[in-house]
Amino acid sequence: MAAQKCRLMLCSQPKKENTMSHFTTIKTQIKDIQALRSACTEMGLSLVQDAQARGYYENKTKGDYVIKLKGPYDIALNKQPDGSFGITSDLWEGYVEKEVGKNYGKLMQLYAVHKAIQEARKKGHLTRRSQQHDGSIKLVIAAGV
Amino acid sequence: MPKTIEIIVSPAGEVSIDAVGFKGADCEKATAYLEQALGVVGKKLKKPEYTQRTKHQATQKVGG
Repeated sequence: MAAQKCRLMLCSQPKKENTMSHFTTIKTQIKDIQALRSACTEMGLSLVQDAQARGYYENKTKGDYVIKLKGPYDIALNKQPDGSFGITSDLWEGYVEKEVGKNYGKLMQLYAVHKAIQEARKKGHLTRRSQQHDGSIKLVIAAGV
Repeated sequence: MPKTIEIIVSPAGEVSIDAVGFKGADCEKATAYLEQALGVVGKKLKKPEYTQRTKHQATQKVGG
């Protein structure tokens, strides 16, 4: 089971503040199938519920959701006790990496982008998306005056 | 002063959130829904002065 484990660092939240802005860094976790579906669509991949993911030779593993890749192997996602989805796939020969990035990076990136846009939209906020030179994606959310 | 939230998502899927133009605790509130929705909060860095924003942004390199 190759579920992505994340390290949680506790943050102090001082009550008295003079600052007007802050940075937050987040390790993305897949929790929302709708946003995941949008990410898959952008990558030209299909997401299937209750399916089998292909692995080496005739190995298969069950997924609550499966991302069907164009190469020989697929990605299985299974719901974890904490509500996020663990990711499992056969990483042999880098077939999976080629399509979704190292450590599923591209998949996680597009998931986070779609999830953030979706959440901002729920609040009625407009979002502007732009591609950065280093491969990052920037979103600017207008949160009122 | 318009309030904006700037999000940078690295090619590795790491998210940096920067709230701009908010006052004090509003700042935390403004991004809380995104932090909660996206995953596990790694670290928070208070920016000492809003006016230093440009400088801070220049040093914010994620992924790559």
